[in-house]
Amino acid sequence: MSAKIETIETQKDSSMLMQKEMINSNYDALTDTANNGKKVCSTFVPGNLNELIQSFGMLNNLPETNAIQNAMRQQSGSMIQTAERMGHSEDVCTYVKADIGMMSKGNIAPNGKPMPNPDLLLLSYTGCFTFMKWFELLRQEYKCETVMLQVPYQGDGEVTQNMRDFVVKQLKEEVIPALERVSGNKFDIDALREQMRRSAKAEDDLVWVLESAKNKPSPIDAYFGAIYYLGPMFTAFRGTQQAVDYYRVLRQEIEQRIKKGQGPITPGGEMGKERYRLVMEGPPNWTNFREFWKMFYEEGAVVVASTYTKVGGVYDQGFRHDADNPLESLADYCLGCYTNRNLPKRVDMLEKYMNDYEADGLLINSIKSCNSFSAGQLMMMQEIEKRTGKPGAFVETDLVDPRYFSAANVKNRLESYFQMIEQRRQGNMIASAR
Amino acid sequence: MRTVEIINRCEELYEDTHFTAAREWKAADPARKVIGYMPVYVPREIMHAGNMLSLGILGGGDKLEVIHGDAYYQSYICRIPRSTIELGKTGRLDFVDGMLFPSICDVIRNLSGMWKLMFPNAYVRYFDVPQNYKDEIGGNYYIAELQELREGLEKLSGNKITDEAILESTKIYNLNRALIRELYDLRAEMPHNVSSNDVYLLNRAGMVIPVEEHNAMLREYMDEARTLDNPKRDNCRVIINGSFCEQPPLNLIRSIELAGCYIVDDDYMLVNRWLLKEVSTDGEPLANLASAFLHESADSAAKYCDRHEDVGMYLLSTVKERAAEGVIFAAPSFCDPALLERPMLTERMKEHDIPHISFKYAENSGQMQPIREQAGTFADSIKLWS
Repeated sequence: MSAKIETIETQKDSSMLMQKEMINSNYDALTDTANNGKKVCSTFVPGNLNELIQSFGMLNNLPETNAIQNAMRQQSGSMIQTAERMGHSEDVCTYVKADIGMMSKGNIAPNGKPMPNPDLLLLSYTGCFTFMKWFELLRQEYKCETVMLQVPYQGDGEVTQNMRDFVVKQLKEEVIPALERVSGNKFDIDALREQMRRSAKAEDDLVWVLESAKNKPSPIDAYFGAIYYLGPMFTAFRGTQQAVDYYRVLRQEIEQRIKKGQGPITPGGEMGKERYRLVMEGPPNWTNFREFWKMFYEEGAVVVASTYTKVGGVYDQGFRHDADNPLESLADYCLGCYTNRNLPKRVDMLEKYMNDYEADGLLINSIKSCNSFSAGQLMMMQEIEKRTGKPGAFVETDLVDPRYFSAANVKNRLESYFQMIEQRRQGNMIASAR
Repeated sequence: MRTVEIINRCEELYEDTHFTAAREWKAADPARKVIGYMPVYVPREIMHAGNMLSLGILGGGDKLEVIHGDAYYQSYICRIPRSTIELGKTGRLDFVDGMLFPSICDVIRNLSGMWKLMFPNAYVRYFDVPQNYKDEIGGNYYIAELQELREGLEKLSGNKITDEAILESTKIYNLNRALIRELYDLRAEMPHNVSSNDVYLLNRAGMVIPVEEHNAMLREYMDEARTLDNPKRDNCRVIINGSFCEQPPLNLIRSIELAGCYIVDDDYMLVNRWLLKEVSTDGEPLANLASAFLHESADSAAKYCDRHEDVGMYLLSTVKERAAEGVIFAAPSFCDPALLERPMLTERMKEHDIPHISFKYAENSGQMQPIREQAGTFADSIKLWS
């Protein structure tokens, strides 16, 4: 019997194609180190020091992104199960297990070529406890140099001078010396400054794009669609001219969409009438990403603001990489990432999004694997409902473990939620008519 | 007082989820304050120096019915934050003036923010610790964190917390740690006289009563326990690892013993044993505490191990020191630190041919038969084939 594979034509903006090429080019560079002679630094998305890494001429490899790529190619499930057979608990983060499973299956990159072993593990311990043990596990496997950058948590919702000094001191005395040793290059602060200037330019355009969702209809989906927009910024391209160019093109594209009064482009084409404007908290599910998105756009639901898009840096509250104070600015970047902010600050941010983007409600995608995001989300939802009077809802999925995505359950919840928003609207209309 | 009477007193304290002893301590003097703290470590010396009782909050155990707490968490989050919220929401902690949430995992970290939202008038602090162990980097950061803690507690209590007072408190806690070390040594030497039930309850008592009273209790218990002549059993000697935060029900500890294991070391209440040696009582008290933390503190999954060669070596050395025959990895369900670290520790145990088993529990686990069977089979296999 021959299996018939159904292919779905999806519509893509030119920026999406550009983004895809960029991400692919990084994988090509990573899998070609035997020829290009580049050294590889593995690090994490939140608090990543891409400008610094690039200033040493090194390549950036992000294990979370690899797990995401494998999930979107339906490969993460078997990787996770392999890791569980190796003794990793079913209770822990599936990014970790997908990464370990990937290694045991030959560490094949999305381009089909084997990944090189990292030359340096740069543990940017920002906003997630799991990172710490994840890199201990990777170190066990790769036996390469490992350096940690501990980023203190904003327990009181603010960055203190002590926190900033601590991060800067680690950069000077731990991270930069390690990068010098591994890369064989001396630290060049001017190269770093140049990278950071480019970062700030790209960040300006990114913020403009994210804030374009204040328009009605929103020209973007600030969760599903924004994942593509965030790709270059959160991975190996912040600080590069490619990123500057990409965000300029993206901005121009969105400007056109606003002029034409168009909604977001989705995998099914341009979204129809905008019926529900949502704020989204929590990471997406990656194994069924398109199926999940479809449940929204088919109902006319658009995400106008999300917190996941701030996990690799919160730029819409004013932060920009500052070339005049490079190390202090890197410290502030790391300290300010979304999951490094305490719960009251996260609630404040959500409340602001609800108001600024005139959202109809808050939807939380609670991720089994990610306690950093998930612990406390039910309370966050209650707080937002209390403060805004808008309804909240909760769905549960996982990052890259397909066993925890139940399409029927998620769809049911979403449909009920959209009905709830409708009823609330009608109730409000009746009340205002009286 | 006989050991059984001391342990009865400890068990009363353990079962009292209204913390009557701590309430009475506070009520005796209006100037006194009570600061709650969660696992795994806080510098209790600073609270003590400010005329405050540090109150260990280790969840609600298996007797507390959790109603409110479950409404705050998804099914895949461990139990301790639920029962801690239950304690808070039911007024059991209404006499507590402040809460410290140490850096141990993302769940406890986020609970600190939830506590701020739930109890906006309480002093709430996320207590961060260095994962960089160099004096001039992690040490300086930690000293400044300790100073911030000191200033926060001064503001709360209205009491100046002087260097002299912290040094004096350090002496008292040095004695407490020395007594706890002696207790663990004694159990390892005479597990037939000093049961793990007793050691556990004695440690728990230290969470809720003043340290001076705890010191006296420990001294009295050990003096008496040494003189006992309980029968020695042909049990195997095991170490429990992974139980440093959410605590197992007491019945689980008893079940392991009943299954033929002498527990000769554990990580149940590390705060009592975190600083491994006497902390200097000269000079700068915060620098002394920082130095002890960086260079002479226990290992746990909540810490970063900066050299691969050192992963699991603390456990391995404990196995050797205690002449243990095996390790039981007993972690709470959904405990990220313990469960993430477990594969690295089991690998180290394998390298050294140390028998080990693993299981998970929750603080309200009720069925002990599977645990007893697993531990019993483990003990038998060690006795027969190891």
